[in-house]
Amino acid sequence: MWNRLGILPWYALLVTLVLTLFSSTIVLYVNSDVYRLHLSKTVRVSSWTIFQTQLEFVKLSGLLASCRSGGSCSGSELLVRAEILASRLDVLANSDEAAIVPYIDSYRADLNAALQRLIAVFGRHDQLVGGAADGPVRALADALHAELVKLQHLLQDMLRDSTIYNESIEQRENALRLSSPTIPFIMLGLSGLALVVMLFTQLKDRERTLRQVASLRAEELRQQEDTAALIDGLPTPVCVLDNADQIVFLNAAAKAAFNSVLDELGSKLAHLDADAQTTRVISLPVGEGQSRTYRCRLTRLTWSGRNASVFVLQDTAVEGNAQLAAMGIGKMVLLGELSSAIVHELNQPLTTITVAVRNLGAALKDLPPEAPAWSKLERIQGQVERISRIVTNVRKLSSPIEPIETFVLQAVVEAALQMTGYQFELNSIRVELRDRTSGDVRIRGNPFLMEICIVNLLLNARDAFVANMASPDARRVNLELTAGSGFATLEVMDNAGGIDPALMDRVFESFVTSKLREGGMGVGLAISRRAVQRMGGTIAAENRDGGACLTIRLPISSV
Amino acid sequence: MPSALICDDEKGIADELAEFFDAKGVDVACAYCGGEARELIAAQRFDYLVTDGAMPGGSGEELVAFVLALPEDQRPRVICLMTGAADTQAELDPTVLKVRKPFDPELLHDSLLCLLNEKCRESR
Repeated sequence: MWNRLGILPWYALLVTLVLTLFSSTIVLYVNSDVYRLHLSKTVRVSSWTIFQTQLEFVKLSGLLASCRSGGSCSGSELLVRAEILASRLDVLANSDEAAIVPYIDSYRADLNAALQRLIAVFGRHDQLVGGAADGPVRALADALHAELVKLQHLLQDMLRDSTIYNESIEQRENALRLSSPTIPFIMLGLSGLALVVMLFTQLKDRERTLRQVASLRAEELRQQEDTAALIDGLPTPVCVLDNADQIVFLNAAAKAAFNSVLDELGSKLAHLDADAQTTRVISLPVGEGQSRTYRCRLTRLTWSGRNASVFVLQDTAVEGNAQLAAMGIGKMVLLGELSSAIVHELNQPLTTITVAVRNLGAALKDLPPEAPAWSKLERIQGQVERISRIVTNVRKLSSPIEPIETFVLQAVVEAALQMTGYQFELNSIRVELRDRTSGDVRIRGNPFLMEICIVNLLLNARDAFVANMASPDARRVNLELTAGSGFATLEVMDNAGGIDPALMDRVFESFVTSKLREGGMGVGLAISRRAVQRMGGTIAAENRDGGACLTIRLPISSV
Repeated sequence: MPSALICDDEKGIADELAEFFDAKGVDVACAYCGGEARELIAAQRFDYLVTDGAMPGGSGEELVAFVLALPEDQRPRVICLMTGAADTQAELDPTVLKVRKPFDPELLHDSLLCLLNEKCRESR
């Protein structure tokens, strides 16, 4: 129960002790007072009744002495005095007040006997009342004297006992007067001490609690400073709103991004219908009529001791680039791990085919030279060699060294068109080559890499037509070759819709592609750029006339 | 008539090479793993050993090392290692001929014959 009330058990013990001591002190004090009153009353009764009786005894004795010595004496006066004495004896023996005096019990029988005898004397001499004859009066005086003589010893004993009793009562009163305040005072002192202990311990407990609260508060402040520093260093904008929807904190990234639009930012975040499980998208101006889109994620926490809303704002453009970069890293690792195995696995069947073609040629040696089987074998051998070169080039993609020779650019372009001809025919794509040069254009470099480069551009155009589901009637790819100022320029243009502007700046980077979901690896243009750069040239991309235009510029060899 | 042991876990390559060398007048035996090749080499001395570089049950490089450890009069006279995607990382005896797949079998045959002739001249 104490625990439920939040009170420590020893606190309860102290409170109980204080209350007990205090109530005991009151009871003790009251009882002591009552006892003192009782004693006083006992003494008063004891002294008063005995002395009153003694006084009447003395008065009657004096009157009797006068009567018996021959002085004037009235019988009625004697009787009145005797009756007064009898009434005193009755009070002394039978009244409630006398009953509280303990020693009277031992005299009660004698007192009542003396009382009865006096009453008997009254009975024998009641005719004297009002009379004044000497004889009867003297007889009454003698009778009373005889009774008084008997009574004298009894009263003297009682007086002695009364004196002894009163002295004992006085001693007890003195003792009580001296001792009675001590115990209540001691108990009051104990109560006070217990109260002081209780207050002291409570004070210490409060001090300890305050120290703990102060320590926790300091720790909270330190953690908050650490958190603020951590958040401040994040590259992602973070904004904290208090429960009054006022911006109370912006990290460095947020200040840099939103410094000019703080009011709009606060307003949009305050009215954002978001919770911790969902994200919302807001758009904020970035100047010159442009805006930027942010994905907002909300976290609710305590900030400076108040409930606050923390918004993490992710630039969707940066987010997209990060996703692409992450995919690029993954693909790079994947390609690195797989390339060796893929090349090996391709080389095995290529070797088998190569040797098998030789063996087949040996088996067909009796056929005439014009037999179709020879051209078929030659075509198989040629395609196997082409595959071998492609595999070799893939293997050498990361190698800085390729065989360098001088080749004719037109021949390479023709070879690339031949290689992709079937694909273009299959997809109803019309291809036209416009050679505006005045003769062979010789380039210093690797013709196989150049062929791969042009094939990549052509296949990208084909993929764009397929992806955009362009009408087969309008599918067109134009190649235009020009030369001048020591450079040859080859433009590959299509009308397939062009390149996504968001990817335009990074289109030549590895693993950047708009065909992620279609399984594109995003390495074609990267290989093409590497091939062109190794030959001292450049490659650029732009959107033109509803399509993409890739321009290769190569230095013309003088050799 | 020279003799050759072709060792490749790719059965198509081993069989086609065997047919090609057979047509060139070489006495050919085939093995499809390193262990099988060791047994054949222990039983017979070959003029040529043409082995794949990567095989289950012991690589071609281990087979070459095993052969080179044999007494000279028991080992094949000419040893050729066919490599796949990557060049072998192991330091090989300079007398071992390395060819990268895919290769022209005519060129391989001519090279082996040339090396065999050199060996024969040296031995004389």
